[in-house]
Amino acid sequence: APIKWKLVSTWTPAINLIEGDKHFAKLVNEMSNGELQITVHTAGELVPAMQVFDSVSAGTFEMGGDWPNYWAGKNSAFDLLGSYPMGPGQYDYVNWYYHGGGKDIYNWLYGKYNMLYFIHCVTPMESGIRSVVPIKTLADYKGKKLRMSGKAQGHILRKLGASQVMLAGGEIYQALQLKALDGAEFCSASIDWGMGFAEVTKFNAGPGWHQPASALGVMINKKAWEKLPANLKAVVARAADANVAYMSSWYENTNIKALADFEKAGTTVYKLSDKELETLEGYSWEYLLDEAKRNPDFNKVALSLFQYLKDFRKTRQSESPFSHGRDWSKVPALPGLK
Amino acid sequence: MSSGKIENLLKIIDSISDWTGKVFSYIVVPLTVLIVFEVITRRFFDAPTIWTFEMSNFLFGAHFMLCAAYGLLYKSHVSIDLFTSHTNKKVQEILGIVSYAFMFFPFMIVFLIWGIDFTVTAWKMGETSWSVWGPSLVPIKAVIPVTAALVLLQGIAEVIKKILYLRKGVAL
Amino acid sequence: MSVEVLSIAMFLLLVIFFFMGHPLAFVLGGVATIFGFFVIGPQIFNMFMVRTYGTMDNFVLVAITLFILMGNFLTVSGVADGLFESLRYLLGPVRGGLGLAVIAVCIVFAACTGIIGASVVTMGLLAGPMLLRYGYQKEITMGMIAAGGSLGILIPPSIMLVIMGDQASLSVGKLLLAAVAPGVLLGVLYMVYIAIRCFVDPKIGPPVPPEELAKVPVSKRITGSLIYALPPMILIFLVLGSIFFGVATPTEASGVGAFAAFVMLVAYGKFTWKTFANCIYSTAKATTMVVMILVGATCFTGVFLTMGGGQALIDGIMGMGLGKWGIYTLMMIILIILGMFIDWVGIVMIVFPVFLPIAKTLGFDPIWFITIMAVNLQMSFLSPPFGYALFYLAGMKMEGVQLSHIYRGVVPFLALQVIGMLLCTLYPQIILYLPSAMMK
Ligand code: NA
Ligand code: NA
Repeated sequence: APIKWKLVSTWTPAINLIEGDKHFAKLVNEMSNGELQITVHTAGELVPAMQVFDSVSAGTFEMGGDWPNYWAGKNSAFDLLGSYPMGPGQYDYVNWYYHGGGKDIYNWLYGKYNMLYFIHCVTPMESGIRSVVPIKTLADYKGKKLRMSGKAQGHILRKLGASQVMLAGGEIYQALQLKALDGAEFCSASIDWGMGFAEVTKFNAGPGWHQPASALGVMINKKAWEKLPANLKAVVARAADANVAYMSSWYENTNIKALADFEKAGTTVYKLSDKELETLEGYSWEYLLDEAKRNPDFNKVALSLFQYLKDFRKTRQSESPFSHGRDWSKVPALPGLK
Repeated sequence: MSSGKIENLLKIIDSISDWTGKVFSYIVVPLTVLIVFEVITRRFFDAPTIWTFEMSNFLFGAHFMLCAAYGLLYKSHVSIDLFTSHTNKKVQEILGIVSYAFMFFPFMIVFLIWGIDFTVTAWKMGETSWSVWGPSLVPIKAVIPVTAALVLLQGIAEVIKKILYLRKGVAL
Repeated sequence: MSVEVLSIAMFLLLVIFFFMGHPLAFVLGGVATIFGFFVIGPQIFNMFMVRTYGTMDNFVLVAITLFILMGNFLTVSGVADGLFESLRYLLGPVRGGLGLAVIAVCIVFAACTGIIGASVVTMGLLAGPMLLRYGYQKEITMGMIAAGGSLGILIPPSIMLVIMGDQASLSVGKLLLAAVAPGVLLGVLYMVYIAIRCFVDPKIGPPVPPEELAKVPVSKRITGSLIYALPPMILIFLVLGSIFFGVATPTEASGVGAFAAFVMLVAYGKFTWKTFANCIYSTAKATTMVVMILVGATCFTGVFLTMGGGQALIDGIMGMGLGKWGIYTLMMIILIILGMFIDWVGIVMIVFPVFLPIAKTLGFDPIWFITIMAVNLQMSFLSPPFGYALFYLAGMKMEGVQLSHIYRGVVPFLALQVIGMLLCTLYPQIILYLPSAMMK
């Protein structure tokens, strides 16, 4: 008989991050010839989003789809696994995970809670704060009530005199519409567009310093994993690999249209200056140091991640400007080019 | 136990539910004050606080949970009275005992055991909320087993009352 | 045993124990415990914890507590009586006049709150004893409060529409606009019904006796109503206004409302520590009654969905070969049947993944279709055997009112809801006009 697993996700259907979970489940179901059947259950159907961790850890459900930073309240070290303000980019995460020791770190940390982990996609930089009132400079952050995830981000907002509000994705729209919030970050452009933020906000404060990339994945209960035959374990692992390549690129590509859509809807974009970003980076290192002193687990993760990034620095620099960020506006007028 | 002792026990349990309920009822006062305070500070002084949002959730959760036993004592929980005449009252009490045995106790015992587990897990990992304020989540999670204990206690009292009625024919 | 049999057994057990007189919250939880243990295994019980915690940690539900507190303060301060009293005189000669006023207040209140527990209990507290005192028939009284109070979750703000928009990947803003007209339409249908019933049979909703009216001249009626109606109007303005002008979220507005009602209690000279304590105690009892049912229901729904019950139910019925409007009718009937047993959150979770793709294939406008579903779910609050609006009213234990009065009382209103749904189906513009006019 086929083995049936339930994947409980932190995403609701409206948040297209759910596509990462869905595509991963589809790959597993196909590659295992139906021997392992994973059904995806969106947030709230079986468990509320913020309770996914507990129910997979307890073994109520075999698998959970998440963004690791959601669990920073359980251990602040999770705050580095999903994203970090002014931190790693999309392919920094992928590189660190596969060949820089990241994979062991994820398994070690989730392992403390009776689970193991596979990242299954890394989404690109987020689109910054979508706001009701213009936020042009760092000074404009003062006194604003902003929806933003993460403790490190909270620390930075406090430094800027803004106040952090934690709201589940589904609650943001109405809060913006009612102006209970001055602004909110949620995700990258395509996801923000899907949630209707263009209808309730006029401004976009970029770039997405608070979350330059987001690693997403699945946690698996250890007992359930141990019961899985070796061939199916391999299917799960390879499906995750394939998903990383396919979905990471998929998310990047959906932004092309979404950015244009936001522009058409009349959203005014402000970008912080390099100098201001430096200030933010300073705050983000401040939090990193403080937290590393407070929590040895945090230090262990930070050490692995930032040692890798530091070692990788020369290579990354030598690639510049040929990696992300290259300006393609000067492509010559090939016949048929738009 | 003599029936005098049993009646004393009942009085004790009832007064526990009564007093805890009355005390916890007042949680609604700081809840209201907190929310009004937040509206004022944010809208008129541009100084939103980082903790009112979470704190109001905690107060709300503690309020309705910890008053559940109080509600059971005063029969506030929604139920249907199909039998009202005296002869049928006995049938009703028997059905009541059966319901307590198959519905109430299994549910509340699960709430107690898993609630303790839920709380201990949070306590062991030193779980805090996810915000900058980051308060410990142990107290609010502990509300679940405490509620279960209070409600179980009052449930025992309700069953004893039913048994006493069947034996003596007097409602307590 | 198959999932179908298990699902039916689950509902049967629910009905049996509930009608044996056990509190609903514990019957829901008890059935969930038994089925969870035997069908899935004890590992499911952690889900009870996380779902319960999810209910406790919900900023939207906080409004239930605070609106109930507001209702209690308003009741003892006499402000609510003043409002309805003055409306009664204004509409004095009209049969069923007070009933019409109650529905009107329900519509206004629905525009303030987005959850059903808050509006039904508050309206029950404010209008229930008043209607009964002036000789309104118990059935129609209960029916109008249950139906009028349920409008709270249809007319924006509405937690239901927010969750529906989220589940369907649609702009919540458009959905909220779409639900305004159907909500008001239902309210108007209720009013027309009350007016006709009371006109035909004044015993159901008596007008103010001419002798009593004669004692109060018209001018005094108007000034009197101004004096009495002003404070509650201010309160409504405070609550509604703070939402409309973006000063507060609905939850925050409920806090402002409770605080303002307390100020009125003091201003009307009705404050004593004893009345204050009684308000606090009644609020605790009513709140725990409403929310503990949600706790039991969330455990029940969780087990039902984990078993795969919802999917099985739908698969079975959708297997029949039907045309466009046949399938539409069938979907509506499934909603009505589900609405007899489980709460709207469970229903949305069960049917959305199945219904929405079907509706898309059939070429229905998604905004229209989801709003129709929201209108349909109005019935779930009133439809026996499990209608949460009914239970909240029963839980308030108004003098001389039994569950049978409530059950009988809502039947005509259920019929009106069907009529409302038919109208929105025949004239989709009722739903679509506002969102298309106000957003492009
Ligand atoms: Na409403
Ligand atoms: Na119903």
